[in-house]
Amino acid sequence: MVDTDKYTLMALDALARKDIREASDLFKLAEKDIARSPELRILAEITDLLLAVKAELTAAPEKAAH
Amino acid sequence: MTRQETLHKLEAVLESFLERAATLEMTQVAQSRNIQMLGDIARDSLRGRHINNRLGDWFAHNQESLEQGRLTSRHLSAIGNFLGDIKTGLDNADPESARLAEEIDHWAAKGAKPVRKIVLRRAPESPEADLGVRFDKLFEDGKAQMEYYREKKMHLLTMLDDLLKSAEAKSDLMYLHLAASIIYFLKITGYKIDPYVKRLKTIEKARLGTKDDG
Repeated sequence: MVDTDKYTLMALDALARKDIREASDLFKLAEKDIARSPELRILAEITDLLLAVKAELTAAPEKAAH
Repeated sequence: MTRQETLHKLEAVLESFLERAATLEMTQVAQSRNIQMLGDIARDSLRGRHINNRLGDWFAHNQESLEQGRLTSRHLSAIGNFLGDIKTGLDNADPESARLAEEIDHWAAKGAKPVRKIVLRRAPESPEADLGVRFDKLFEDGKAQMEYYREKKMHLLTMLDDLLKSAEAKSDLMYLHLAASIIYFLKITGYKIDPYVKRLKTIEKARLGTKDDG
């Protein structure tokens, strides 16, 4: 198994543990797997989207309240 | 609902989706690895090595997936092919091997049948017949691939994109053959195919050493 496969599995494991930041970082290391799998690409994109939502909630809660 | 409530809701939905999707994806990866392991056992069996213990362990480890219907038709086909190879090497005079052969029959009855076996074993009558067998195999493999895509509910253009990526990354000619077949179908049904033809030709050139003659 190549390294990217290992990173993909680690990213999936991080997602299952709800460690979104770690999953996002690991998906970036698994770029070969992501490139050839539409399903993994969607998971990686949704992971980044979730990070953005979390950042929005954390950085500007008062802004988000309006 | 306030903007913050909406964002919290979105956060919860995305977290829940990702958790479930990741668990499902890991299950599929684990199943693929189990099938690769069976492939290793089949190859060792064809080399005449003793595989009874490993095969027994493999059956024990995967029995639940079979009985609970967790294996896709593509997985079952691959397993059936490997088990078919293994069965030909088992010595039925040996009780342990006979028991494993019975287990292989049980898996076949549950759908793990060697789908390509008949085609692969037919002796070629002439070079043309050999060419026909090779085409049959590509066709059968392509059919299994399309079945896999249908299970994933993929659009034809998404399938084509995935096939071209696979053709680029893998040595199996089936991906190239199936991609070319879809491109031709798109052409005769009036779709714009130039970008796909360009990608196909680039892959052909890199893999087969053919010249791009337009």
